This record gives sequence, structure tokens and C-alpha cells, in this order.
Amino acid sequence: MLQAIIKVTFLEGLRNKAVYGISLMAGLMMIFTVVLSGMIMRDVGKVATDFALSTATFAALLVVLFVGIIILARDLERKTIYLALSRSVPRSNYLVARFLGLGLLQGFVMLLLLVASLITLVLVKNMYARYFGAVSLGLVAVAHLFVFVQMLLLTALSILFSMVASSPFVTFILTILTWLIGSSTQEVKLLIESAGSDKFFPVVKILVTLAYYLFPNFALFDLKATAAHGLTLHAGKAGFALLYGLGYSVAVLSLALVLFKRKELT
Amino acid sequence: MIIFEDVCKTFQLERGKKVSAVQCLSLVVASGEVFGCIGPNGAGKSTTIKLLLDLIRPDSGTITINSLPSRDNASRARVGYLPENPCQYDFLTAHEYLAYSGNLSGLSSSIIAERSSLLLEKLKLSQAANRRISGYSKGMQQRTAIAAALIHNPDLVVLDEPMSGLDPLGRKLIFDLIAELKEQGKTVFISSHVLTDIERLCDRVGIIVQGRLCHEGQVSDLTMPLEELFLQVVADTGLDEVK
Ligand SMILES: Nc1ncnc2c1ncn2[C@@H]1O[C@H](COP(=O)(O)OP(=O)(O)OP(=O)(O)O)[C@@H](O)[C@H]1O
Ligand SMILES: [Mg+2]
Repeated sequence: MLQAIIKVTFLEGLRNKAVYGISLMAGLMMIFTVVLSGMIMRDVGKVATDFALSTATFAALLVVLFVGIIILARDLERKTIYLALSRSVPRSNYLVARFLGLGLLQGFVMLLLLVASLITLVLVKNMYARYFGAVSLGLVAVAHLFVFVQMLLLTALSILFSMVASSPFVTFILTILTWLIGSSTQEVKLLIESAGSDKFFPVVKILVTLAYYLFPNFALFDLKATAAHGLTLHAGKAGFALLYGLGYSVAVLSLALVLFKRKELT
Repeated sequence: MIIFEDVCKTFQLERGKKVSAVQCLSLVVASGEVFGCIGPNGAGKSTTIKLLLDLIRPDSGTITINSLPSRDNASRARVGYLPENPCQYDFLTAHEYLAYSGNLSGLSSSIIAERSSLLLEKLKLSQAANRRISGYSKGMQQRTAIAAALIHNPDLVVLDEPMSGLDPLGRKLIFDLIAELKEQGKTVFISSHVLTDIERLCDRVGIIVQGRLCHEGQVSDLTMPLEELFLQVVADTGLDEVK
């Protein structure tokens, strides 16, 4: 029963034209990365890695926003959800299976993106071996895993939002806002802390600190610099980020479940 | 057996307005009975059905299916539901959709194959079964939804306007299908505006007006055509416009 719901969710994603559009865009960006690498002379590897990972992150984000959110919203809006819930399928199972289905879809897309990134970087490396630098392809792969975990968390958040939002558009906006704020709080907090206490009003400081703890810290999952510079990734740090992402997802999903169980499906 | 006991449901509208969709509904549908639920548009028929299936929750009162409270998922283990204006996962083919529907009730793939080819045959959908539902006409979608509701051979079948969008041939098919369910001893709860069908198919009818059950009785006890009774009951309530 869980499997059937997971499978249908995955299929809906795959048969959605948006996924092809996003993949096409990512492919073009990767080709552009190869072309661009020919025009610069220094740190080719760093630039190419940064580009490839940014593309992968952006494409994965689009999948959450334009495929994940749409799938859930349509299910509620068009009442296709009735088929499962008018049987003895518990609502908790339904929501978890939906989440897993979206996760599977995201994982599949991430795998494609990883292959595209690696092909791009290997091409660039072979073409401009002398300028390529210390990029670690292993870390590039790990970076994709981190993007995946991050998108699982964002998917869980979008599910939570769709339980409270009055329309898919509101879910969409809330998800984007969370993404933007969650990706920047760490940087802003560091900036304010390093600038000295007299530069900013105390209110700003409090607000930033509040945002830092209230929103998920997506910067934890950003390994672009680490991979591009071939730095070492500390196991402790990496483990923390993964546990943080999964733990946060579980917590958010549990909250969504509580709301879903009480939701009126009119 | 379905029991509604003093069930009330009010919807909150914008700016604090309220609609009482179902008011103090008490109703018993016995096992093996075919019950027809009729009433004007906006009377609360679909709301009653959604309450029964725990898609929405009553403000007060209790509902039980075979002595299990409707809030218990197990009460719906042997239930098939056709929603009004049904919508399917239209990226699937009818075959895939029926398989999904069967899997939700834990059927094995061999039973799914057997039941779905039987139902597709009965509903004259075999030809289209491997095409995506998104390319189906309204009536074909309605038929697919009916097949999906019956794939697991449910004991309680809840049909919300099963005849909507169907051509005369389709209506005849569904009519025969419901008659067959009746023969098999299934409990059937139908909401419909096609009173002639209700009259011929149902053992008992209930007329709901403005959320209240205004009349209830055996079809065999009717002293006038159902339509006449319907108009009379509605006129008695003084209703002249849908809420
Ligand atoms: N989601 C909702 N929010 C607010 N009011 C609602 C909602 N759903 C139904 N209602 C109201 O509840 C009442 C009953 O609606 P319901 O859909 O049960 O009617 P119905 O008997 O099925 O009518 P029809 O024959 O047109 O299908 C109507 O007045 C309707 O406006
Ligand atoms: Mg209705």
C-alpha cells in the first residue's frame, strides 16, 4: 500500500513535463560551463565546479518548487486524494508515502545531475588539465548528496506549508522565502558579529539571531567551496549536517502529520 | 450497517458567515440495503457522504460503519467510494489506475488483473484501458472512477451522483451494475438526482432539504411517484432558493 503510493508519486513526477524542462535547462547549463571554462585561464576547475554545483542545486530547487509542490497541491485540489483516504489507508501513511515518493523522485533527479556534473568536470579537466587545480571529484559527489538531503528538508517544509496555506501559491511563496532566508542567515549572522557592536542596531542583531535559530540553516549543506578548493571535509561536520537535515525533516514532517490528521478534506 | 446519530456539520465561510450543511442527521442504513439519498442542490448529500468516510469531521454526533466509529480507519476497509465529479490521476492509464486502487486495498496482482479486466469489460473501457486517462472524455473518466471504486469488491459502496456525465448507454450500464451489487447483497448508499433510477434501484429513500432529513421511507410504501413526493417535501420546507 505504501509502495503503491510511493510509485504513483514517483510516476507523476516522471511524467510531468516540468522535470524534462528542468533537466534540459541543467544540461544546457553544464554545456555552458564547459564552453565558459575555455574562456578563462586561471582556476578553471574552481569555476567549473562552482558552476556545476550551482546548477545542480538550482535544478533540484526547481524540482521541489515546480514538481513537488504541484503534485501535493493538485492531489488536494482535485480530490484525487479521496481514493486512498476513503479506504483504510491511515492519513499518516499516506503523507509519509507521498514524502518518500517525492524523495525518490528528487534522488533520481539528483543522480542524473551528479552524472552530468561529473561528465562536465571530467571533460573540463581533460581539456584544461594544466589550469584545473585541486578540485576533488569525490567531494563533488558528496556535495550532491548534501544538496539531496537539503532538498528533502525543503520538501518536508513545503508539505508542512501546504497543510496551512490557503492556496498552492502561498505554499510556493513560503517555501521560496524559507529557502532564501535559510540559505543566508549564517552568512548574515557572521557578518554582523564580525562588524563590531556599534555598526548595527541591537534590534537587527536580535532579529538576525532569531531568524538564524528559527529557520533551517541551509548553509550547512553547501559544499561548493570545499569541493572547488579540494579542502578536507571533516567527518564530524559532515555527519552533523546529514543528521541535522534528516532530523529536521522528521520533525517538520511530524508536525505536518498532526495538521494533516485534523485537516478537513472538503 | 451504517448509523448516523445526531450528526451536525457547519462550514465556516469568509467573514464569519456560516452554513449548516447537515443538521441533526440521524439515519440507519441496514446491511444489504440500497439506500437512495436525494435532495435539492446544496442540500448536504455530498457532505453527508464525506462525513461518513471521515474526509470531514462532524461538529457533533457520531457515525459508525459496522459498529466501528468512522474515525477508525478500519471502518473503511471494505468500502468503495465514487466521489462527485471524480478526478483520477490522469497521467496514468486506466489499467495503472485500477492497479493503484487495488493496491491501496492490499489486493494481489493476480486478483487485480482479474478484477480490472472484468470491470473494464463491464464498463466498456477495455479498448481505452492502455491510454492515459488525461485523454478520456468526461463519461469515460466517470466509468473509470466507478471501476476504481469497485475493484476490491467492497461490501459497502458509496456512490455520489454515479450517473453524472454518462450517456444513456452508460447510465444503463451503471444501472445494471448497481442492480448486480444489490443482488450480491452489498450495502449501497447512492446520492442522485435521477429519481426514476432511485425509485427502481433503492429499497429505501431519504430526502434531505437544507441539511435536514425531511422524509425517509421504503420505496415499496410510496403512494405517489417519487418525483411528486420530492417536490411536495421540498415545497413543505418553504425552500425557494439554494443557500
Ligand atoms: N468546503 C465547503 N465550504 C463551505 N461550504 C460548503 C463546503 N462544502 C459544502 N458547503 C455547503 O454545504 C452545503 C451542502 O453542500 P453539499 O455539497 O453537501 O450539497 P449536495 O446536496 O451534495 O448538492 P449537489 O446536489 O449540488 O451536489 C451547501 O450549502 C454548500 O454551500
Ligand atoms: Mg453533491
